[in-house]
Amino acid sequence: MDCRFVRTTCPFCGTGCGMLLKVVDGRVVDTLPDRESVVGRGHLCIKGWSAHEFVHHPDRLTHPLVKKGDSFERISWEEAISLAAEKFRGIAEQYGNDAIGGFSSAKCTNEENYLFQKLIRAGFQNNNVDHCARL
Amino acid sequence: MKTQQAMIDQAKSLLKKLLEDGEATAVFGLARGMGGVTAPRIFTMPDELDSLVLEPKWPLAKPAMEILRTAPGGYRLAVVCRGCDERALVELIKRNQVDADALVMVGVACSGEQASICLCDRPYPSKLDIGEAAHGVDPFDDPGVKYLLEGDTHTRMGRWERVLKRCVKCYGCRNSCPICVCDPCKLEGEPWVRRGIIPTEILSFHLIRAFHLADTCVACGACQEACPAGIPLVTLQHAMRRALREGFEYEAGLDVNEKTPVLFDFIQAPEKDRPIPDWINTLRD
Repeated sequence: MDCRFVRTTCPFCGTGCGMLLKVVDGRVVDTLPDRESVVGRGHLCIKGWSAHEFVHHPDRLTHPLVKKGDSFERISWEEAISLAAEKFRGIAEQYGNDAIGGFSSAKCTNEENYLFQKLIRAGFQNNNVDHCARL
Repeated sequence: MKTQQAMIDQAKSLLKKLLEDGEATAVFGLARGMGGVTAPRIFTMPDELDSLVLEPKWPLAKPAMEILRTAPGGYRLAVVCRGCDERALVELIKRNQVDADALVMVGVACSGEQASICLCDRPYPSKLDIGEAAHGVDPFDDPGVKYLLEGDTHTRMGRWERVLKRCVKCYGCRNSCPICVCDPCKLEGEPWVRRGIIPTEILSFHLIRAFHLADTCVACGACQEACPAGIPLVTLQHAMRRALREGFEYEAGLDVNEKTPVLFDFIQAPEKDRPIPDWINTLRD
């Protein structure tokens, strides 16, 4: 049995509490608060305590899906990105650049949020970017 | 008093020998890893023990129990135990949650400073392998404990309400408690605890928990340390533990063969001259 405690940061909000994921034989099975974390200081909220539950959840989306009729079909990443780009370009051409905006997430890393706002500002050429935590 | 380094060296050689002699399949303790950060670790090779440390306090009884639950047959885990870890594991053995044969407890003494932080009256395990026992602290000398346990019913209820309404219902107390092992947990649904209500109902959440643990709590402090709202949860248990000690001469976690009076003494008629503990005297007003 290979069991280890892997240090990471809680993905659920911008606070960034430290936590340890218990990984047994390559599967994430439990979460413990990181007592050495300067942010959380050994504390987690209920989301953090349950953070391991989605990792191997059967309902989790693990690949792109496209809706055809009433059902979803699996497509490749290449197809998914091409399709999204084509649709966004179509919207911009028909309604103008301001017709597109984006909502990012507090669950993303700083780097991911940086790239996201760059996509909106440099790619779509507008400032319509916000995030889910500003509710 | 031994220095911290001497204690670590002693622990390393003792634990390496356990692995080398095949007395234990693995050792569960704390390791200083990358960037000098400490975390629990399972050591399976003797050389890995070079990164072993003994501080800071990190309750290991519950993760140890969970490791043993999924371990293959014949697995023996050596656990670096502070006094409270040892007492929690003894309680888990009593309740058939841990197989005593799969467990090797290596006892480490806490410093006097740690005892003062935890308000621990017994900062050492009964089987002390590493370090010297420091003097315990009487929790009832602490002003914070006195504030919450002294005064008439009305005063105390008001003080507890103010403290407990800070609860954000994270379930950290339940999750971190080494003794909280009920499945399903009474705190997870109707009728006791309503979903989506914060703060939670004081009587049905905090007092269910307190009474579930009344005869089992070893006052390790894991609940209080995990509480993001800073609720002094152990103070509830100090009162329960004192009542058991004074009423039944019983203390949880000391003897694996000693049965809890809550389950085994209830048919005895109360003795007439048995004093009512001071802390419940106010119930008569």
